[in-house]
Amino acid sequence: MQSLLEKVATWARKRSPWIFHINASSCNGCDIELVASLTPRYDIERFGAVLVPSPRHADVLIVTGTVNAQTKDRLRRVYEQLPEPKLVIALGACAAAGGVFKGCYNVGQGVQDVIPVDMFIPGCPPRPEAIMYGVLKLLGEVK
Amino acid sequence: MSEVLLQQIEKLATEAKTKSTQLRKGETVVEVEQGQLKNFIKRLVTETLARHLSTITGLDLDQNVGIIYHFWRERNTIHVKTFVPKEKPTALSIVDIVPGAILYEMEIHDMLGVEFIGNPWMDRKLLLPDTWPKDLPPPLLKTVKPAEIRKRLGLEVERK
Repeated sequence: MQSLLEKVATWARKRSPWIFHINASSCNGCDIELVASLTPRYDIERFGAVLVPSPRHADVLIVTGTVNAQTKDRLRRVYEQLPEPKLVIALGACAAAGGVFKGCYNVGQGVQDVIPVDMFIPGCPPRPEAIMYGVLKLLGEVK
Repeated sequence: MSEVLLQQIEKLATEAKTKSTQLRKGETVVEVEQGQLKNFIKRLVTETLARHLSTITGLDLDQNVGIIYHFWRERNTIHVKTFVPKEKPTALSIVDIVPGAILYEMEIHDMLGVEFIGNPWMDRKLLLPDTWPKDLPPPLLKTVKPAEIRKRLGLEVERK
């Protein structure tokens, strides 16, 4: 059973998810689409989502780009800084499985080998609508 | 390519005991031996004023490693080609002539293992991680198997 305080906290988190975006060696395509979803045309902020500059303030971690030898440890360090409960979204084909860079000598097979992932949003890059749909669907699962 | 520049390069090439070939209009290739290279580049930079070094390319040929310096001047490019043996790839650094070459040389050192004598940063990594194991081969050589490197770096994880 959740205490009343936890219920209030979950309710607040669902209505205002704070997002921290980390670029794990992305080509910038997914980053641009993520920024596009924040612009007035798509406006993910009407659902309360805000990009925050520090992982310590965030509820949701959005990872773009393929994980490689340089970013693997840094990604884990950022993930550990997120306060509990943490949600992780892997954005784009690279974050999901390595993308076009898979098979390279320094490229892994996606974010889920390094940190646990709650939601994959496919696409190269995904449309802003897909990003918003993914974020909202993930928040709908939060209980 | 202007006639004057072409003649100047031809003259420099003859003095370095080699020839220049014109690929197409405005693009010249000069193959220079390792021993003549520094003198050639020094004169190219000071006399023909082609001092913009666009980049340095490294090539894995079977026996040799090819290094190509791409110089640029007013829509003309001069590719200076040189080869070093693959068993012991050492080349002379041109950092004292073109200071901007330092990063390009580091990149070729990272990726193809060419040691540039005279480059002060040969002990550092540029693109590879600092934790790169010393016994691993340079990753862009054709004999290298990417899967083995990935395994060593801990990037190959077994999925359940």
